[in-house]
Amino acid sequence: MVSAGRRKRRKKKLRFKRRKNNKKLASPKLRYFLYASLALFGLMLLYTVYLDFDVRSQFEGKRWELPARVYARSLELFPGKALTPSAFATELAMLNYRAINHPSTPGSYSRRGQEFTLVTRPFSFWDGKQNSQKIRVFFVDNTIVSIDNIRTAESLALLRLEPAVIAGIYPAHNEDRILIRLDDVPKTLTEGLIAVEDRDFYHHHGIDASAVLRAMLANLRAGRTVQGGSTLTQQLVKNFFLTNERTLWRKLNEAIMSQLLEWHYDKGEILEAYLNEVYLGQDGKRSVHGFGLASHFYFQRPLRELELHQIALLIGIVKGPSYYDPRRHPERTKQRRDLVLDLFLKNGLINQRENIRAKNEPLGVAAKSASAVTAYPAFIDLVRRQLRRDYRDEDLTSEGLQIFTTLDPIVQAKLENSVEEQVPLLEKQAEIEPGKLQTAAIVTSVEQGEVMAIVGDSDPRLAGFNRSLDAVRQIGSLVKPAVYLAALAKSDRYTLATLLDDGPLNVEINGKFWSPRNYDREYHDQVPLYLALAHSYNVSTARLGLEVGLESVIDLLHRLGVNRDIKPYPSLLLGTIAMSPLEVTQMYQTLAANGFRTPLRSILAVQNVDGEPLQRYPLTVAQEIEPDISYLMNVALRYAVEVGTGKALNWILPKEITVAGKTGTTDETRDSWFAGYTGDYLGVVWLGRDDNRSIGLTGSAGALRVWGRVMRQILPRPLDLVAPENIETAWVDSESGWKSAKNCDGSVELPFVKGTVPEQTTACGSNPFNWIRGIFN
Amino acid sequence: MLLLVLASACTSTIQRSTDEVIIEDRSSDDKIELPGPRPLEPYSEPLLVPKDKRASNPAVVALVNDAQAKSRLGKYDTAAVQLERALRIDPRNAQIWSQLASVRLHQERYQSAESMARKSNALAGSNHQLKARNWRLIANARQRNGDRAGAQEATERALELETDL
Repeated sequence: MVSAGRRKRRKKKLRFKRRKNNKKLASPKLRYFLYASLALFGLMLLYTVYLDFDVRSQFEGKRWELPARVYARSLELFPGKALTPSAFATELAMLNYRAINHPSTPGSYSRRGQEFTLVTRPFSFWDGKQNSQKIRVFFVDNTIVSIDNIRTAESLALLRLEPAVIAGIYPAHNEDRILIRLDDVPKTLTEGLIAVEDRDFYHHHGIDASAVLRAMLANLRAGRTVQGGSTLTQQLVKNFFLTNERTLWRKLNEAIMSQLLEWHYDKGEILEAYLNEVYLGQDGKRSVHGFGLASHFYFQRPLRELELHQIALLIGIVKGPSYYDPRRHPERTKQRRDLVLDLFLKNGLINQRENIRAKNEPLGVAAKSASAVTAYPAFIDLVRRQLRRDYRDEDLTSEGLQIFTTLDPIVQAKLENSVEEQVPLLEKQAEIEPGKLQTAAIVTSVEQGEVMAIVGDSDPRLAGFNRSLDAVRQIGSLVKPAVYLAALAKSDRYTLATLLDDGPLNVEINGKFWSPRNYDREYHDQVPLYLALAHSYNVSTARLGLEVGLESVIDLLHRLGVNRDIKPYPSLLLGTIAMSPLEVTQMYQTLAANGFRTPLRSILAVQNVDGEPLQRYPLTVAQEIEPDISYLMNVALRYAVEVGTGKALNWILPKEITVAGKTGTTDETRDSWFAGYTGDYLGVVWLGRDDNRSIGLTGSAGALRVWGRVMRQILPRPLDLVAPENIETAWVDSESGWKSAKNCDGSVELPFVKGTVPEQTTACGSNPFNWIRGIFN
Repeated sequence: MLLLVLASACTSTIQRSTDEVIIEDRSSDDKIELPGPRPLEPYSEPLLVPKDKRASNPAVVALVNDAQAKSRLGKYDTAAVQLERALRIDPRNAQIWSQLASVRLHQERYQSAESMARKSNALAGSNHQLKARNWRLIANARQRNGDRAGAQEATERALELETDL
């Protein structure tokens, strides 16, 4: 008090002195002063015009850069859908649905055993808006049996849940927000905000002199800054146009700009801008702006689903997002929230009872979400690469694009969990140092080529080297179907029953000798074609490939979707060609989809910020292989699982799930592969080391285990092969490949392109070759 | 009930869809000049009742119906979206693939229309009715794409199948 009094007295003295001096001023000096003032006024006017232009252009032009938001697929619910209740619960949890007793607001649900009641959230899909509905979903035996709309008592044939946000694509300065419209904001929030931050918001013109006075008094009384006199408009201006420095110049700018803003725009527009602009928290590098995003950031649900105490908390945070960080400083933040709730009460926004009830609530802040650093690094990597072909980086980070992808979080979760469970076991079994066995795995939908799940590291959440796209490794026996297809395409010469020579092979190529050997280091004499593939015999495959010609094998690989340059070395026939897991997936996609190549897709559609369609990535197919030939290959690959190198799957998968697939192992077991498909899913798994050393695991002992675990969990449909019309079947002896009778031992029913059934017939149990061999022995 | 309605719609399908095929008109035309592709008529294909019992899944029926409604309004993009959704539910349903081929034809994406129709054929088993329809569609697509010889060939395939019916 004393010092303040002294300062005042000194000021008085100064003023007195100046007045005395003024009296002494001569009249030309006064004129000079007047001109100077006029010039200053002119400059100020110009400056104000400049500020006015700045304010208007920024406010009216694009106000915010909105990062693109990436969505997972939306879950389609329909009677007959195979889905476990627990997977459904997981999906709801991922969408941040609240489990409560009596769901009545969007984004809430209850579960009673096999029965779920939920209120869906509205969502703008490509084909139109789907409103919020209260529904009941009933499960029996891991299948949805009914979906009922509770209000209308109708049975629904189909219902989509809104898709989960799986990532954002942020601009360099890492500002993030979810835009909200004033109409969508709960009244409690707007009224409460005004009550707490700017009581006279609806009456002042940008600056509230009485509030400044009030604040000054309060600060004076406390001896430090305890209250700001800034109006919401001033705060908006500060957030919007100015830096954080505390200078008089900035204050002046702020005051002028606030008044300009009020001059041009109505209170509603200013309030809406404020709600979207205000800084409300920090998520690592990402700064959280606006109440829309803050609601997700702190409570993982949209603004309109917030409860009273949560709204109060957000309003409390406005004052200082890092000081009142509810995660780091829960105590003081709760005090702040309760103070806000008291202000609500004082202003008549809520009654005593609501006040007490809200104050009794815990902060209710959700654990930090992984939304900034995506939980699906490998998938998002793929999406970004595909997006970059069509969009500039700045469009992705500023236009608020909504990107709808094919990721199926349920399948992804099962894939991750199989990798995380199997890799350590396999490391142990093969005596590999822990952490050294690497994985890449992809699951797609067979007919549409939609990438549903993808893992690029044994630690699936780790962003970095994405092996599913970038680990280019030899594919070993995975190449063999191309060799056999090239042969089967010559249906007058090769059938599934054609005997192949698996005896020693030694060919001279460009002066060098090549003598491939089988994995078991043995030769198998004469083997029917389908068994040579099923057992993955190298010698007979190499001989067959040389017979049909390297060029036709290469042509087939290209037709299957392999886009790289392939050199015609004979070792190609045994898989020395190197490919990424994604390329292998594309290749097997064509096999799985009956010879129709479908480019793999991770993006379905892109919408603009208002939900209007911008671009769609439609399903395309191209026939590459005749249906009858690809049918024969599918049957052969079924045998590879039933009796061949994929046999171990029979212990992992239930009997009714029939699958086709192929193992792949490279020299010195550096790579372990499995590629296979059911009626609806295609999966490719690779295991190996980054330093390319041996892992001691074959395709069957390694990758197949992971593959089997995934498929077992995602409820696949069995592979029901539909025979084309010009396919006929015949029983043949599995050793000789000759026609035989159904009831003979070793007799097997094989499909043939019409007119190619073997003519020779053998009687039961009399293998003609054994008989011939007997003569020579 | 729905299925009954659809079944009744089905009987009229074949006649109506042949109306759309251009090549057939040649028989009545004089040989001086082959007619060029005439504008596609408004979309008017009722749903064929799928033989496959899995395909009678009400969700698929609802989506295919909606796709057809959208097609009639000329909203082929949305129609395609709905059909792709139907395919996610029932990926090997030859009927849906055939519907998608029709939509592609209306979108003037002839290559794609043909591929979809071929895909449908590959899954159609012994459903000659559907296969014939697909070959007619292929003929139509080829004709529009300027491949008259190819269109002729496809029409012959369709005729072969139709005589088998």
